[in-house]
Amino acid sequence: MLRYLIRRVIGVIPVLFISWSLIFFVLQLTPGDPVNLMLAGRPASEEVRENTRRLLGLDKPVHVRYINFLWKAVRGDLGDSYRTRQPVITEISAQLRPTLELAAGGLVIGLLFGVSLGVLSGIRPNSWWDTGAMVFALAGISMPSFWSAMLLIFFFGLKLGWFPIVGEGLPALVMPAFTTGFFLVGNLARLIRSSILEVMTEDYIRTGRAKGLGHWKVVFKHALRNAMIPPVTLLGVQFALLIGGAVITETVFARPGLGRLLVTSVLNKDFPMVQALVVYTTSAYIMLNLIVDVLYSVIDPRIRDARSV
Amino acid sequence: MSVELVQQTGVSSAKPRWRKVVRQLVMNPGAFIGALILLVLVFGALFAPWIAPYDWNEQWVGPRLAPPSTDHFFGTDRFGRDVFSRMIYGGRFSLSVGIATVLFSMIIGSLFGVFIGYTGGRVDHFGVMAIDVMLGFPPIVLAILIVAVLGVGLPNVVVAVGIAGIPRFARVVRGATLAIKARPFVEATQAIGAGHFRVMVWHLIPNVLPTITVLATLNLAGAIISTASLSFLGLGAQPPTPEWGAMLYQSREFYRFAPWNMIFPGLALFLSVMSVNLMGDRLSEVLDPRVSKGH
Repeated sequence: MLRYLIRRVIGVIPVLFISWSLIFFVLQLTPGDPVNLMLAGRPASEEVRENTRRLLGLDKPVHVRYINFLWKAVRGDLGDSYRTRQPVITEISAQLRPTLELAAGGLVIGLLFGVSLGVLSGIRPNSWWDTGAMVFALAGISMPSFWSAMLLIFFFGLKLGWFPIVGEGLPALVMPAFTTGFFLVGNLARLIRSSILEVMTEDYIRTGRAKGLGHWKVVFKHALRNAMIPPVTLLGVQFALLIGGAVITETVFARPGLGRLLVTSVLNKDFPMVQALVVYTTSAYIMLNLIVDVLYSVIDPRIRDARSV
Repeated sequence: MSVELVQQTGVSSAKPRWRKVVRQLVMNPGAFIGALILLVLVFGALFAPWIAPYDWNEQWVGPRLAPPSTDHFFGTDRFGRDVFSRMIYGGRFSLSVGIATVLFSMIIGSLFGVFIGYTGGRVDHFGVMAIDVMLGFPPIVLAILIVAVLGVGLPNVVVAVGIAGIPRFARVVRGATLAIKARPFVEATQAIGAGHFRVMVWHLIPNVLPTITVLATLNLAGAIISTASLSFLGLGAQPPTPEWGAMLYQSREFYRFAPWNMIFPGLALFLSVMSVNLMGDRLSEVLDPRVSKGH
């Protein structure tokens, strides 16, 4: 187990290294002079421009800047924002909390409704419950989140006045969390349903029934536990969905957060901020996938053995 | 002669299946409803000039922010433009952009997947590594990064979302290629002297086609949502383009008083994504049960 763990952790280093390098070089392709972007159209003498260039380290050749970027990035320093001239990390850490709250809320909604709908359909296939749940799940994966957000705001925020549209605290989190989680609900419900249907045909389910176990005992003790394995392995995918959801949700609800910061930074051409946000989300995503893989191999040792061959 | 014989046995297994596939799609109520909705939307987009009662960009054809009426089925926007006409024209942008995006990912991803899977060895090793690195990016973040570099606009959104979709095609097609490569007919084709290019284009690609089709349909729904999302964020279609995501973006300031500006373009988007999903579900059951799992 320890050897497997060490091999996986070491294996992630080149992936992180290549993706950071890719982000750096892709952003080098940006047309236009960064000094112009930083001065934001204000007139400046050649001397000021030269100074800015030196301050940003842009007078050095690309390979030197690349090494600098990597060396600083490893220590958590990703440069200063063109706009605020503050280290990007200051603003990112300030905006991290609202995004984590939103993601947690979306995850809770997704798990709560997604798992229950999926189980409901899976254990009673082709019933009215199943049809209803699957229509709901289909709506979940087909509804663009900005549209469902606007519908929620209009009907539950404005017409019925059940939930606040803006503000802090739990009530103001309800509609954004539903917006972010709705896709997850549909996605999980469908996954869990098909997973349960597959598990129910296994021999050990028949054995359980044959030895006289009750229906619910078979379902909860044997079917569900095994049916949960495939959805767990897709937790990384769910995280990506939550990030995508956060970008949209934060924009519609005008909530502070990393997703909105990313979009405004792109629109403002604040490239150090864009670079830092992409580096952080990508690294978090890669690490999360690693953790999921390792957890999975703990739950199901067959995976570990199959991969070490 | 013998080349043709091998070629025929390679392709013939796929040929009669297509007719069966269409029949099975039509027989399924979900897929049938999906196809019907999509046909209506595509029909509207194609024949927009004849169906739309007004020009999509003509201002003051009605009062400002007027509610739905017999003159304006879906009301008007803040410039007095007809929402129904704009929505009909919008399909031309939203649907074609979604399709173009998937074609982009599909062609590049599949060719890459077939190439590395067939070549094997070190090429395959580094190819898989490249796929892993690209899969290391959350797709929407990768798309936004590319838009940041290319600049704002609808064609750039196609490229950005298209690139973000490449690794998914490449990975699945590589896997399918490895499986097919091991089948005797590939070795037989090589034995009678067919070159690598010929084997890849005429024998491997036709056999991975069912897999690619399923993946493309499943990805089309996501592509329509992603491209519309970027337009909604202000990174894609710019005003006055009636792309559905951009229409919702433009309605942000006044949909509280004139919700028809938000409800109808969103509904069009929702229905098109749903119909593609309905067809994709059924298609994956019929054509390739392995791909549908886990996606």
